[in-house]
This record gives sequence, structure tokens and C-alpha cells, in this order.
Amino acid sequence: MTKLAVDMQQITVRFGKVIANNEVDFQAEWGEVHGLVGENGAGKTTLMRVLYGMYTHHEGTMLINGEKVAFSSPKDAISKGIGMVHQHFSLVPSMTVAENVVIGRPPYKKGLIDLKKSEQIVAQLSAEYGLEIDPKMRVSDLTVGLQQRVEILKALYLGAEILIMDEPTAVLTPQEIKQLMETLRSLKEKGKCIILITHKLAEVRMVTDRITVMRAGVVTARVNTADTDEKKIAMMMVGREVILEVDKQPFHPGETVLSLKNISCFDRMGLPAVRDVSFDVHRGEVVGIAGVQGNGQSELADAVAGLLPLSHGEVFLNGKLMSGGNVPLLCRENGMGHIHDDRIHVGSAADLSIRDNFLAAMYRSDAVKKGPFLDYSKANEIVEENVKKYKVKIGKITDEISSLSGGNMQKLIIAREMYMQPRLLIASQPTRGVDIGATEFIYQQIIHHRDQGNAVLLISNELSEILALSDRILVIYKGSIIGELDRAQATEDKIGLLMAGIRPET
Amino acid sequence: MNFEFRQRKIKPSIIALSICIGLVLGTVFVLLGGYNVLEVYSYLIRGSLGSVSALSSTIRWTTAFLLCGIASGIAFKGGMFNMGTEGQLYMGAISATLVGIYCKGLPAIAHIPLCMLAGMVAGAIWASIPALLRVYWNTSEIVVTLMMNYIAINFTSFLVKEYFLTTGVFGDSLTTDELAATARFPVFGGSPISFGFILGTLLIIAYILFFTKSKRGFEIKVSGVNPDFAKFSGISVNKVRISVMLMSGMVAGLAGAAEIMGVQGRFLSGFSPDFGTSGMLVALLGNSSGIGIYISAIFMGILKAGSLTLERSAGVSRALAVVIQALIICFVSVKTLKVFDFKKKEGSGKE
Repeated sequence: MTKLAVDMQQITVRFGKVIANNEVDFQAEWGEVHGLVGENGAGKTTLMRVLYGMYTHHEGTMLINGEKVAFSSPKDAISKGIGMVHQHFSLVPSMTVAENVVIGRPPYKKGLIDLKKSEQIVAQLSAEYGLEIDPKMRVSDLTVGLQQRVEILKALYLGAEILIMDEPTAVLTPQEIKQLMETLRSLKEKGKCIILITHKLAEVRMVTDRITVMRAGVVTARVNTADTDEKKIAMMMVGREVILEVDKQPFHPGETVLSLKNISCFDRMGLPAVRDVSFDVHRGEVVGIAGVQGNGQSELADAVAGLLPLSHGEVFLNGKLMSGGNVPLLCRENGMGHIHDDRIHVGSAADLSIRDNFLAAMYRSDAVKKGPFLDYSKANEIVEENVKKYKVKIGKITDEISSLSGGNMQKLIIAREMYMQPRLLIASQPTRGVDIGATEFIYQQIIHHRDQGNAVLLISNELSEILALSDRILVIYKGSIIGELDRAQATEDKIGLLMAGIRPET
Repeated sequence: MNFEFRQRKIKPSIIALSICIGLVLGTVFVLLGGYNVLEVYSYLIRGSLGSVSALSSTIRWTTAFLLCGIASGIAFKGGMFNMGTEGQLYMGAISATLVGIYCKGLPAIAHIPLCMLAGMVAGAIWASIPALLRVYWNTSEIVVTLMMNYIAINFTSFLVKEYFLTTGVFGDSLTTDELAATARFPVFGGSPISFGFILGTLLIIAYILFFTKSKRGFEIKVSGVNPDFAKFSGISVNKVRISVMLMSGMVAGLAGAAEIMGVQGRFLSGFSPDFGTSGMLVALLGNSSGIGIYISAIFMGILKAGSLTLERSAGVSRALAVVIQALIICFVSVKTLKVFDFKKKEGSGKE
């Protein structure tokens, strides 16, 4: 019998009272791509951090290639041939590809790093694994997809035989994802063991051989990919059947609600983020803004909501120009609701209670007015009622909002933003970090809101989300809208090319 | 980027523990000085609570700490670290003094409110400068308020020396004339309860109502906890920042006026034994909550009054009280004390 590449037995990891991994068994073989799937918070990344030596306070045993190991740091894990590519890259942008790859263990010549040798090494590695790249390029000039390639080369240079990829596709365009999948397949053919952490089911289908499914800290299934399908995997992840397709009423756009006229703005570092963007959103439609993360989406949402000052252009809401001293207030008074993409820092206040967080968007309304005072008992009633209506699981409404899980917090935020029945709902990354069950619910709410004749501006990095919800799709690239598609003509390929900044030749 | 001041919530258990450690370490200093510990603590208690005059002394100090604590608390709630209550207090004190001396012939019922008003306006104006600098030029309010304390202390000294010096004093004491009798706080016979203390108590009640019931109070609370979220919710954080600084300055100015009208009777240059800093400590110890401020002001008042008696009777320096206060604050702010707080959640198992 051949030895297992990775054999983790009875791994338990605790953070205080929270058990992140509970007696998890995990095995992966040489020469396979092993999918580790589960919702956010299921314990996938925790398990892999144990394997990579980042968490050392666990119980249970680990065998690498049949040999028992105990890591005290990632250094130990690397020496056993384990490499990890994190969600957030750790590259030095001002250095070249070659320098970045060898940085962990550079070849020296007379006490200095031998750059020529480094370039040779990288050229050799990239030829060996079919990972084409120019070793002399500066990392800051590379696309995100190529930067990821540098990360993979870095791990391979350090002798990785077992490669852990943590949500590698979150920042890639569909075309880049395909290339990555090719890369993973070729690495597999070289006999390496690849562990792919993901919650995107399409990728699991595309590239993995076997899957381990986790839910709430325990393994719920181990299957061969060939024996299953996406629906079944989703069920194993959530524990029940999930319907992410949404029924929409036919598309009948009404009058214009939001109108952007040539708006531009800078991000918080003072760099241009949104450039000359104009479009309208009408009643009864969902306009989706697709794009690779970091192309100005969050700034666009903030600019529309008055949270970032415009350097140029105008925003009209229900025909009224949004400008003046307190634009966010003006926007809200004119019927805007906003699900902010940074729900932890901007969309909520962690130190305030659930009640106060809810109240913040509606404390001005007459419903809770009592002379100069706030009618807190009425407010409590309203919050209780909406918590129930939106199926938010909470303890008491006086608990701090930080006691809620991501999905529940997002539901509460949606309940709050929907309470004033906004004419325009800005939904920016509405399902980021939210489990599938809550995602399903949020989709229904957004479509329901549209069907009632309101306008929705949806901004999302998840192409599947854009395709599922939008009536019209705009693609943003480096802060500009570079293409517009009707839902009917939109395909993943067409949008993908636009997301990469390639305009169709017409 | 400016420093965003957010007061960390301190648990009552930690405060109690810090007070105990502070007192114990204070005892160590007493022992090192070769004094009898029991004697020292008995003087401390007798001097603050043991008699009517001791109670009067306690209430006299508590009043000043209470008003300054409220001033600091308002600013902290709104996310502004007003280090300048001391300066605002001086400006309030000098204004109240001048109105008290030179607006003669008014009945007490008009003269007292007028002096208080003068103090409040002066404090608010003084506090408005750092607030406006912060809002329009993003200047740190901490540095500006701190520096403006020195300006206020020396400016009032200068005013007294150049223009308002009383006649018939020896050169070394820079003091104004006495206030008109109509500008002095009324005295309640033999009772230790002073007019200023009643004023402070009423203000605390208003403070609690304001922050737990009113719309404005809610806006201030939200802005103080998370200004980004406040902006997102349509609250004008700049307006909140200016308004809390104005309110804070107003109360600090009132504290100055009350000190002159209730205790000193005239403006003596450099009269304040750093009421401003004590007020900040009161607000920090009390978590900026109304009840917390009230209790910690009384605690500090007891400590102050007791330490003064201690100095007179046992010859132990009054600095002991300051040392104990400082120790308590050190321990309140030390994060490691959380070790003793078993309920604290550890880092959650987020992916």
C-alpha cells in the first residue's frame, strides 16, 4: 500500500469555548487534487493552518508521507514539503518575480543574492511545471493571476510536494480560473498532492478527484467527485437542499430612480478609483456591477451613497441632485438603503447592541418619536418584529451585534435597510462571508424588493451572483464601466473578457 | 490620519480590582515611609466621612470632580479626547469672576445665573477652537486642547496681574477682588450639602437622560463608537464633534465658575489643583456613564478630603492620594488585568 501524503487523525482545535475543528480526520493522497469544501466558518482554513504549522495548540496526530510529525511553526511544515498559497498574497511588489520566488532561501554569491542564478532557477521551474512567467518582471506590473503564479512558484522552489491553496479563485477572472485549474492538473500529474480549499462548487466539479466536506467543525462527507454533483455537495455543506435559482417576475423597468452623470472619485489613499461613470437604474430592475475585486467597486458604492466625495460628476436620486453638507443623510431621506460591503467597520458598530444598530438607520422616523426623545419601547417592538420577520437568530436585542455570526449579522443589516422600504437599494457584496443558507435568503429578499417595483444596484465579485440576480449587467474595470450587457446576451465568457479589460472587437 | 479616540469599555470588576491594588500598593508606600498603616487609613476615613466638616470637605472636592468628570464624559462619549477641560475651567472661572465683581447691583437670583452663564460661554468658546481645528483641518484635538491649557492658565494669570489685581495684597499673590455677595452660591446652614453639589447632581440626571433617551444622545453615542458607521447612517459626525466639544467646554467652564462662586470667592491665579485631569480620571473610571461618573467622583472626593486631613494630622504628604489615584488609573488601563476576567472570550475560530 502506498503511503498517504497527508493523514490527519482526530484533530481538535479550540479557540476559547469555540471548537473550530472537532475530531477531524483528513486524508489526501499523492497525485490528486483534493477539494476541502464547506461554508465560511466550517473550519476548513483552521484545519489547513494546523497542517501548515500555523496553529500548534491542537489535539490529534498528523502523518506526512507515513511519518509522524509535530510542527511548531510553518518553517517545520515547509521542511516537510508543505506549501501554502494564502488568500492574500505575501509578495514584495517592487521586487522582480525571480527575487520574490527565491526570497525564502536565496542563492548567494560573495554574500550577495545571486540574481542571475535566481532568474535561471525561476526559468527552470516555470518550464518544468508549465507556469509561464518572465522572471525579470516586477511583481507590481503583474496581473493578479500572474501574482498567484509567483506564489505557487515560491512554494515549489521551497520544495513543496503538498500544496495547500486557500480560496485561490476569489480574486481571479473566469479565464484566469481556467488557467489555474490547468496548472493544478499539471502539478497533479507530476505526482504532487494538492489541497484546494473552496466554497465554489463549480471549481470542485472541474478539478478535484476527491472531496472532503466540512460543516460546523466536523467532516460530514468524503466522496469521489465523479460520484456526486453540485446539488449533492451543496446539500452536504448546508445539511439541507439549497435553491439558489430565484424566480423572478418578468422584467418591466419603470422610471429612473438613480442616475449617475460622469462621476469620478478618489479612494482613501488619494488614487483615482472611479473614472467617469454614468448609468441609470430604473424601478423594477436589478443592475449588476461585475468586476474583479479591487477595480473600484467599493468606491463606486461609497460615491453613490455620499460616503466618498466626488471629484467630478453628479448623482441624482429620484431626480434630485445629491449634494450639500450631509449627503449620506440626503440619500437616506430620498429613499436609499445601503448594504455596505464592509459590514464589520461601516455597516455596523460592533460595540453597540443589536437594537441600537438597527435603530441607527431609522431613529429619525416618526415611528419612534416621542417629543425630543426616542421611544425606546416602541423601538424594541419594531426591532423584535423585524428580527422575527427576517429570521435573524439572536439572543436578546440588547446583546452586542458582534455576538452574531456573519450570516445573521447580514440578515439583520438587510432587515434594517429594508425597514424604510427604500426606492433604491445598494447591495454591495451582499453575500460575502455568508453561508449558503443565508445567501439563498438574501437572494430572495433582493428579488422580492425588485418585484415590488424598487430599484436595486447590485455590486458583486461573484459572477454567479450577478448572473442569478441582474436584469442588466455592467462590467467595471480599473474604475470605468467598459461594457454593458442585457441578462439575455450575457454569458460567463463575455463578462469574463470584459472583467479582464478586453473589449470585444466590433 | 487622525487618531480616533474610542473609549474602551472597562468592566466594573476590573475597576474594583484596580482600586484594591492601588490601595494596597499605596499602603506599601505608607509602610516604606515608616508610618502606621492603620493610623493612616483611619485618618483618611475620619477626614473624609467622620464629621460634618469632613463631609463638607469631601463634598467640596466631589463637586469639582463631578463637574469636570461630566465635562470629560460628554467629550469621550462623542469620540473626542478633550484634554483641555483644565483650560476651559480657567476661562470659565475668570469670566464668572469678572461678571461677579463688576456687574454690581443685581439681585442674587439674576446675578448667580449670569455668572454661571458667563463661565459656560467662556468654556464653550475656548473648547470651540480645537473642535473647529479638528473638523476643518483635521488637527488632533488632543494636542491642541492640551496646549491650550497652558495658554489659558497663563493668560488668566496675565489678566489678573495686569488689569484686575486687587488692592492691598503683597506682590506674591495674584488675586482679584472678592466677588459681590450676590454672586456667591447660597449656603445651606450647617448642612454639608452645597449648592454646587446639587447642581452637579442635577447635571448627572440630565446627562443620564440625555444619553439614554434623547435622539441627540443616540447620535453622539453612535458617532463616538464608530464614526464611519455614523456617517453611513446619515449622522453628521462633524456636527457631533463640534457639539460635544461645546457642551464639554460649557460644563468645564461651569465647573470653574462653581469653584469660584462656591469655594474661592475670588480668582486666584493658578487656583486649580489640576481639576481637569482629575475629571478625566473620573470619566475614565466611570466608563463615561452617568452613574459611573457620580460614584467615581465621590470616591475621588473622599480620597482627596481624607488625604488633606492626613497631611495635617499625621504629616503624611497629600501626594499619597495622588499616588494612589495614579496607581489605580495605571491598573485600570493595563490590559493584562483581563487575565483575571474569566468571562472574556478568546479569539473566535473564524476562518
